[in-house]
Amino acid sequence: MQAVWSVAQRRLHWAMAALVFVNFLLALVMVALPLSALLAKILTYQLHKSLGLLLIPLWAWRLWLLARRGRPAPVALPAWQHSAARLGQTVLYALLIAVPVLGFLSAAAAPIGVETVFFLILPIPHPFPPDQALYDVLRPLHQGAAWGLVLLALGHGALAIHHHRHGLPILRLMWRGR
Amino acid sequence: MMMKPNQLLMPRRALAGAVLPLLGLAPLPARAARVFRFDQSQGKLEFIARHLMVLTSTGQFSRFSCELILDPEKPETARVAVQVETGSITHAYPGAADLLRSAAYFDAERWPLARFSGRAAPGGRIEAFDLAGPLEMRGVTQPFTLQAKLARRRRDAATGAEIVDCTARGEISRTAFGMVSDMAATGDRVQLAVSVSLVIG
Repeated sequence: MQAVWSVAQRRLHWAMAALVFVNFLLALVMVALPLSALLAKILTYQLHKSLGLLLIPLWAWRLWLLARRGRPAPVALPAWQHSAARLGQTVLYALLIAVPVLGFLSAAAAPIGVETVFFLILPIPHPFPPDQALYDVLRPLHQGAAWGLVLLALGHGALAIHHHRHGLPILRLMWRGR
Repeated sequence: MMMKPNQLLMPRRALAGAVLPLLGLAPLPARAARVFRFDQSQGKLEFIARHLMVLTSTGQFSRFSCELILDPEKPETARVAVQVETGSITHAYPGAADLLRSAAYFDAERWPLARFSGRAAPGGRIEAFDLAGPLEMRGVTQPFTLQAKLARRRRDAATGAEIVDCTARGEISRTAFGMVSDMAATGDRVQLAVSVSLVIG
């Protein structure tokens, strides 16, 4: 177990947090945009898909770093809070991979059949052809999981601030490293 | 036993014999042209637009009628007449069909029909031949060419009927028909694609 989070771990943590929130806001915008703003709608959809796909290798990298470098020693918290924090983090990790994967699969199943082109440069082949029935299942799952991820991340952040205000170094360790 | 693809292609003479009993019509002389009439119940008519040069989206016309006159011995004499109800557009993206029916695109209220009548260009083969002629849409008439292909003969598993799949593709310039909206998002060239299964026996 290391004494602090490594620089790479901290940067990845904040980069992924920023990506999740930016992509969530982008999703709200792209859905709300009218078809009369077609260019903006297409661009926001493709950007949303690209940022979502970017989360997948970052997630794998972060998990690899966690396995390789571990985490700092736990701060002094009641046992139940430790357990709750560990459970919350596990669910966060699960949602961090589930949301983009579900999003990509629902893009593949979407009856409109628009391709996924990573930042409008690299075409990413869809694993199956458009399928309305599958889309009807995947789309709400992606949406529900995304809301779950954002709400849980907000709760995670709020608790970190709460502990910081009570003198615990949880937020400081992730922000400044010590 | 596997058959080589070229063995599956229907020879002209064999197709000529096979298409004769079509549509319950009285037998005609062996070399006469045959009339194939079909609509949305036997085939589909799609349009494919490109966006930002790397993306595509596809819509359909759910009501159209087509008459193809084809003498398999003389594909250079083939003729086709297609009539499409422009208001019958369907599109998977919510609201897109309404936009495409609007005055900015097909203007379906003012121009409810699009028509194409084409004749085969010389030099065609029965497996692949061009049908060229005027396409009238949105009150504008422009020359248009469909590249038609008759695919391999197959037997429909459900009905046991012998079928030849026919596909035809052509490309239009939408601006030539007065559809100039969203040029930054959607390219000028739009593909039209027809696919139909012709029952030959």
